[in-house]
Amino acid sequence: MSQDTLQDFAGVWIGKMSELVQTIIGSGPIKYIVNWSRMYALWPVHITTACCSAEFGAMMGPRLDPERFGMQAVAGGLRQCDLLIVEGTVTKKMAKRLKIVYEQMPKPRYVIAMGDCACSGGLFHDSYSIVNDVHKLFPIDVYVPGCPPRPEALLSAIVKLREKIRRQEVFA
Amino acid sequence: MTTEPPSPGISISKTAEPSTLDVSVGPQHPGSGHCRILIRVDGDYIVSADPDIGYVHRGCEKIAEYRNYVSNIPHLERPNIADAIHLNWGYVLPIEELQGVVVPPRGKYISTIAAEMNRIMSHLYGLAIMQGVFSGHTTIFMWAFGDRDLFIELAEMLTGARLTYSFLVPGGPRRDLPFGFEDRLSRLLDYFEKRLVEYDRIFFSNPSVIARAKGIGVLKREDAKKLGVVGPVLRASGVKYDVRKVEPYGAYADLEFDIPTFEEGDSYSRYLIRFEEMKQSVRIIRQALEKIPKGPIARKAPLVAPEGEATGRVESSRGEITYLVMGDNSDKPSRVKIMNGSFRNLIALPFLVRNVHVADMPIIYGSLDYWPVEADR
Amino acid sequence: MSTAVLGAMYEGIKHIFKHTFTMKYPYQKVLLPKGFRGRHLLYMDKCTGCGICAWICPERCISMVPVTDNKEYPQNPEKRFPQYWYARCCFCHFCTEYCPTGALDYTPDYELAEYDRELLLWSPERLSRPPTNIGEYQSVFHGKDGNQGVTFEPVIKQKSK
Repeated sequence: MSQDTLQDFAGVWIGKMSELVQTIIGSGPIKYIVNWSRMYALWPVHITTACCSAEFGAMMGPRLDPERFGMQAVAGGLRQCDLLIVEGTVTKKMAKRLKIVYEQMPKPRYVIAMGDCACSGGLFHDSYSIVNDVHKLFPIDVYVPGCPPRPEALLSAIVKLREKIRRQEVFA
Repeated sequence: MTTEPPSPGISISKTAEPSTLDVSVGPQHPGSGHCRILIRVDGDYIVSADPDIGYVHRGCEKIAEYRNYVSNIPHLERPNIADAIHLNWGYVLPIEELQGVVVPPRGKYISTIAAEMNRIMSHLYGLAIMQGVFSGHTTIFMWAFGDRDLFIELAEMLTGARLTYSFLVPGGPRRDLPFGFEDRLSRLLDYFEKRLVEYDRIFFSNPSVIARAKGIGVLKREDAKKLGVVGPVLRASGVKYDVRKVEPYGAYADLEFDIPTFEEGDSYSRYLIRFEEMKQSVRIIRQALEKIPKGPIARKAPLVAPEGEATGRVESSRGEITYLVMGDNSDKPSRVKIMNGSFRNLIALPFLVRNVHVADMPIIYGSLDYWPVEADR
Repeated sequence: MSTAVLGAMYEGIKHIFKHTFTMKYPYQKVLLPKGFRGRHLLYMDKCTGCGICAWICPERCISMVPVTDNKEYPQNPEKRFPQYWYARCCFCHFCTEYCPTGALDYTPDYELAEYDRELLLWSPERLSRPPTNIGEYQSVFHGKDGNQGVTFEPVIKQKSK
């Protein structure tokens, strides 16, 4: 057998196996367990695009301890993170870096647009240096209005995101 | 996305020596964000550093030209939402000067109380993140953030928002002190003074903190004057300069307070100066609550400002803020210029981090209490 | 030096036995003070449709739109009411203060997160509904002069005489 046919053979077999694994995992109880574990391991990336980081810090603080929801205190490594919180205004200079950060995150990844500036440009919508349409850079799961949103509002968005994760398919 | 031009002022990687290595710190790192510091290291020592700012440049000064005077207030205080009221006040003072409006004494006292509360909040934020997290001290992060929330609750009661108050408009503050505010505030100050003793024991007198911060990043008195740093960084180097004393605004002329200074000029004295300023703020609020007169809080100000230019100076928690406002007989300013403390203090960073360990850079950066959004405007 | 280390450790350990500061958010909500600048409440029977709110709005998030319902508004014959786009509103509430007829009001409603950006556009009818999710917890000092720490406790509602 030549090298190519061997690889094809293996590819077909692995493809079939992964399909089978996907159908098993995607079904009822296992899906529940997978989604449950995703819900309780939302680790946020710490990239502060603008001033909403002050309220992000307050959300991470002692008053609304988000480790109750399995959210670790901010980790430096992007490879362990699931959640990107766009904390405020995205300038043209920052948009490029934000896109790189998003692409470095492993799937499944979720994005929360925090604050008016991340939702629509907000107060600075007519400025020459900011990106108004952050949702065109990457898909956004939950929008939190507010300038800045209260920490409770951000936590309510995380509760909403957890609802979304609970209902999603495993291999979407 | 458009291609990015090379950042001006960054010449670090042009003349590299073979034994050195260029490292880019940020903009995504576990501490603070939105500022990149390009450092060149030789072994464990930093040879040179070059802060790359402008990640949060939002063009506040340009936007201010196409909105009317009142509508400008929200976005001009966004540059530093940890210290929003000082940015707001600095913008309102020159407009009042142009329009010839005099704020009633009660309005001045309310503004002063709100500003000093905000100074405490801002220093607690700096203590929690810039000094606590950057030196690896998680306990002080939790304590300072928890106590900051109690002040925020009272600020919410007074102004209606957590951080972005938009509280002062030309003519005076927007609201009077609510019912029960004085009582709650004085109880909180009692609690906070007890907490300050505990902060001292767990953070400022902690040998592990002293070992990390003492003698690191020394800024001498003469250098501080030459570099033009302002605010707590200047006072930590031994220069007794405070706009509240030099050119009193608000109700500061009637109130007694000291300006703490330190002679050493190292990171530890920059930590301590904020701690001492919080004590002075408590003292100012106590006096203001006693002395507050009765009467109207605000005068009605016109929406139009006459032709001319005026400047306003306030002492924010990160240094002096100067606003220049030019009016042209319309309801919009023709030019607004902001000079703030963060930008001026960042100038000291490349000088301070020369020939220090890489691990000392977060300490020095944190001791400057640099707020990138304010510097970028 | 060793006494300072022990002092710092004692200070930390002492707090194990004090009250917990954390508020259990989705179940406990803090009672916001009167005049908290949350979302707006529109009294449709007071609004005259003058558009001063849209003029003062710093970010132009208010647009005056005609309403198509069967009710009659004598003070507002053209039936034009403000519509808010909360993806842009900064909650400065200058609109509320500058409203000449008092048709806008503050509410303590801040939980406005949505899955979809279009749902952040609040029509006049939606704005005129009063909020339902109002918290009832408040931070309370414990011990003599608050020396024992702070917790969140439900506000005791006083009986009306």
